[in-house]
Amino acid sequence: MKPLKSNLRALTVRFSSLFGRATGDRELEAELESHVQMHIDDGVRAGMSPEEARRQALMKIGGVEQTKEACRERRGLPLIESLLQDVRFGLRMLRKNPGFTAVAVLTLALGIGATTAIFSVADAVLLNPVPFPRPSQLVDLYEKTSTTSRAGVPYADLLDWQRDNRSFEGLAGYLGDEFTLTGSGKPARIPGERVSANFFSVLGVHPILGRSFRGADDRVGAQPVALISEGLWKRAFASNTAVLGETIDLNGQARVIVGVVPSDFRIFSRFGSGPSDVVFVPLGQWNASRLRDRDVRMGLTAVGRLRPGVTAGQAQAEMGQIAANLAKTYPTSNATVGAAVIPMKQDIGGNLRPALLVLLGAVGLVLLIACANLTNLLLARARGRAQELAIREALGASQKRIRRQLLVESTILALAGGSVGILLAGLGTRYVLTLFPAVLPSIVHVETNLGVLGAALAISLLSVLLFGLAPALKISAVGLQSGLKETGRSTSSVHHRTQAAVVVTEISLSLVLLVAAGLLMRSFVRVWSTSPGFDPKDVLTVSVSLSPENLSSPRKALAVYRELREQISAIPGVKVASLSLGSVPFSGDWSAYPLWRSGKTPPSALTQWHWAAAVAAGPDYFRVLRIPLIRGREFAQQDALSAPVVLIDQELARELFPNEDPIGKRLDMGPQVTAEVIGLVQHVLPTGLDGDAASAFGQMYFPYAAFPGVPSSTTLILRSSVKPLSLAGSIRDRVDAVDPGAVVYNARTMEEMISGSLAQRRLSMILLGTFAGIALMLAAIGIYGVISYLVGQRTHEIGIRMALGAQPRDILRDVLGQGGKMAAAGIALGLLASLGLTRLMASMLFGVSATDPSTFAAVVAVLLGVALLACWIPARRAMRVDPMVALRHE
Amino acid sequence: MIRLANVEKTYESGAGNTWVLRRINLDIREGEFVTVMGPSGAGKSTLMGIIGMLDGDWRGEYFLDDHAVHRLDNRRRVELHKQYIGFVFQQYHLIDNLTVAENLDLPLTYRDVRRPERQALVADILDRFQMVGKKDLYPSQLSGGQQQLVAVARAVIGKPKLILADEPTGSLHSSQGKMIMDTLKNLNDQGTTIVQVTHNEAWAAYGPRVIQLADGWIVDGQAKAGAPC
Ligand SMILES: Nc1ncnc2c1ncn2[C@@H]1O[C@H](COP(=O)(O)OP(=O)(O)OP(=O)(O)O)[C@@H](O)[C@H]1O
Ligand SMILES: [Mg+2]
Repeated sequence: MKPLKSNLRALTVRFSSLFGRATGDRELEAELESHVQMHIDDGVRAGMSPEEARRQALMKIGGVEQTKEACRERRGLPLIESLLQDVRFGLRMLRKNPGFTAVAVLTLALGIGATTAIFSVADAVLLNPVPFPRPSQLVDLYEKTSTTSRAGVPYADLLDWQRDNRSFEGLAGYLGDEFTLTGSGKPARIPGERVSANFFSVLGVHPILGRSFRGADDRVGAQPVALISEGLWKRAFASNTAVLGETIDLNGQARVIVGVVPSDFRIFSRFGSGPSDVVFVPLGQWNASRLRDRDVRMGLTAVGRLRPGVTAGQAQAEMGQIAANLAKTYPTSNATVGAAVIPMKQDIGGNLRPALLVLLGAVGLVLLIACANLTNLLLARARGRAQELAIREALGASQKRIRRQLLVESTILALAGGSVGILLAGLGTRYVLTLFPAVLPSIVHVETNLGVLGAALAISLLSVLLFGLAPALKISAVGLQSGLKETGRSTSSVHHRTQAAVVVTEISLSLVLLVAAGLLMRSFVRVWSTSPGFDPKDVLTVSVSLSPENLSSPRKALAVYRELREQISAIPGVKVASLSLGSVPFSGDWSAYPLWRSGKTPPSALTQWHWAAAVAAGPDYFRVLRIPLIRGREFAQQDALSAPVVLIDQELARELFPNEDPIGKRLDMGPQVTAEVIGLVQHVLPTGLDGDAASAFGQMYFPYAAFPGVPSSTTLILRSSVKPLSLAGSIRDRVDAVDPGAVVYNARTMEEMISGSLAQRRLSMILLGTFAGIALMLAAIGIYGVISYLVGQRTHEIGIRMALGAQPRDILRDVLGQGGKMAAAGIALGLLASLGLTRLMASMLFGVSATDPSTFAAVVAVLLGVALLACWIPARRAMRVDPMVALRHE
Repeated sequence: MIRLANVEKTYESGAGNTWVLRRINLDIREGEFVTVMGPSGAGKSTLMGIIGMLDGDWRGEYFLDDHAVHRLDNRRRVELHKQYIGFVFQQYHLIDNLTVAENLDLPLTYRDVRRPERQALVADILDRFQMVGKKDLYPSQLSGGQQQLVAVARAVIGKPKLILADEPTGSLHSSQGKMIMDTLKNLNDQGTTIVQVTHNEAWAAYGPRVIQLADGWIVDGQAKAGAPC
């Protein structure tokens, strides 16, 4: 028994040192004894005498007369009972090693949870984003112009497309708008859609109540009708089925409600979780002349359902031909206009694709790291267990019994990790959704994806079960005798090398993730610190829509808007206020108009003109936003009344009047109007800080009072000396006083709007950052586990070194060096991998190169720091090795 | 050179304290060759550990020359250990994954000896112990006696003033044992102080002074303290 005893000691040192629990050589003996005791307790509870219970217990653990007893045991103990016992022992083993258990469960949970959450989103957006029947038949259609390949479709063109095409079962159009809802209570401004009569049937959506539109509804002069959303039906009509036939007042017009649209129907043109109050009206009823003008793009999108057997490519070919025919028929408006047919799936998920792919890659890496960690943990434990189990076997436990015991233990571990993982997956999906709303197309329904969850569970649980059985397989492989003999020396270096290799891999993978996250962070900071060309601080924008009476004539509306501006300027805390319409920066409204330098013959096709964003700027507009005036002057009171005047920005000046002074020059705004340039202002970024397509366009400002027609709503824009949002209440009051029927909505600070424009970028950064954090944590746990294990292995050697005069700091340096070497190898590998991989995310970066040296350096420093810290904890334990104790154990 | 006064050592055990050393008073002069004897479990190894400053957890006073060891912190003890002591263990305690030469080199590295000098010292000691041919072997490739020889060589290489040898001949054949004893004697003749533990009367006879330890008490040996070497 002598070798047994010393083996037990060596074993305990190794086994318990993995998580730094107090090393005592009595531990294993106590462990075995406690197992015996548990059996005894069970026996006594089952009614045996203590002596009999003890005999039974020893027999189960492995008595002397093993064969005989084993037979009797099998007869005597029903399977279910002995399984319960295994479960109890399993729980006990896990409780006894709280460090191991916690790390294993956490690793499993993080791996499963993070993977599932992101996979669910990616799956919803990239793979199955279209929540309509037969989604592969659905396409979105746009017009291609010289400036963009996704221009809105003029209604007249849509009608021609509908008439001429053979590819589609149905072709519908929809146009997002806002409506003032009056009648019940305070007027409200709600979103709505103007849709073709066949819109719902093309998509395959059926009203939950009533009917959808008919062709007869879709004409000017037809009876005004509307569909309402389920949310609105519930809120305003208490889900009463008698709502059909009742009327709803939209923009002062009573419309008969003909149907209710289910609440899970989402509209593509809007982002976010989707408003609950929405109305739908027939597009063709609208008599606005702009709608039927082929030159005007109002942002109408067409959606088509392909006939069975027709591909998107064939449809594209046909639509190209139709567009070419229209170009011949209407050369002024359509000369260079083409048609674009884009599968809806691609249209929805398209611009999120790079971000989601990068995130998917990140998730894969995290899962890989988690599995690597588990493998290492279980292998390290297997070393300890192999010997313990060999001893058990020598004491008489059957191989089968041992394997079952291990299987039960692993299963408990897997179940624990799995359930925490499922919990995390649910929470994680929700967390991701709270991060997403501003960027995730609201059409997409995201739920925790059960298939994905299952796959993640299966992968990680399989690895637990597999590696959890390792010790049993090991004894079977090497045989009982050598299992007992093994002192941990002969094979340790092989083991150590495998573990080190796993850790090196983990470190290199997390380096890749950290670098990616770092690059995104730097990009974000760069974008964030980009000046938009004006001063967004303390600026508030509020939309106001006047009551129908005040909109009866342009003159009347203008007078009311003027009055509003004056009232609001007088609010204490408001420094200066103005009115605006059109492409107000970051408002989400952005549209371009054709311009040409007067005196030169313009191209016949408007699409070949210069295009610039236009803003109707009220008095003091430039003072509110602090847009610097470079030359000339701002608008004066009388400008609106005299000949048309405009201010232009440097960008447009460069385009229209290169190397000339633009002041006093004239430009054509469309074929009829010519305006004089009276001022030159600085270019501002209209929609995004990161150099999106819109920021390349020049800007043109004209006096607010010169706005053609009646603006049904307008944007009040002001600079405050107090917190901007605190003014919302008093603004509402002033508007109420001027026009009690007016609607005030959408009070937003400019900073909030800018920050909103960065939502997708921020999201990618946060998610990738989270992943990098998880990866870093797992890698730290990994290196910690291995170094702990090695320190446990080396206790004796460290004792000798100390007895030979090593100072604690020599030992510290030694252990840190061991960890440092792994970290260095991992970092070197990771750097190589990163140099190759970050290139793939170049499109997500802004102002930093994919191989930005300072990001790389910072990440290396962080990773090295964390790795050394993870080594430092076991290293400190190594420093405290008592040579007298360590040397005694041999 | 060594003066222990009322040194006591206990271990906490379940029931209470177990006494391992009790009121040890001991003087050892520079150049002495002292043998500690006693039954198994008497506390011999414990005493050696205290003298060798491997163990810092005891009560009483310990002067090594004029250093009051009992007042030193751990770091200073290690320094003092390096300055004075070469330890030969009951079990050889060689490091398995270092070669013979590397094992010998180890104490020198902890004494901040420069590399060329270390190489010279290792070559020298290998030569002196007639192990030049074995220098690149690992401990597992040596016989027990050879391993013990390396352990002695490793204790000696730092030119310690005091060699503590805990049963250095424990598991050896008598002829190999004699060789090790002769080596120790030789060092003693050159002025090194030797304290050894042995169960073997013949080896005890190498030195004039024997201290008997039983149950943690010194039962004999104090009287001869004054004997010259
Ligand atoms: N860590 C420990 N915890 C409790 N008791 C200990 C511990 N280490 C040693 N002892 C006890 O101290 C006593 C003295 O041990 P020591 O090793 O000094 O004996 P020894 O005289 O060297 O015996 P041997 O001749 O067998 O080597 C023993 O009774 C031992 O049980
Ligand atoms: Mg001893």
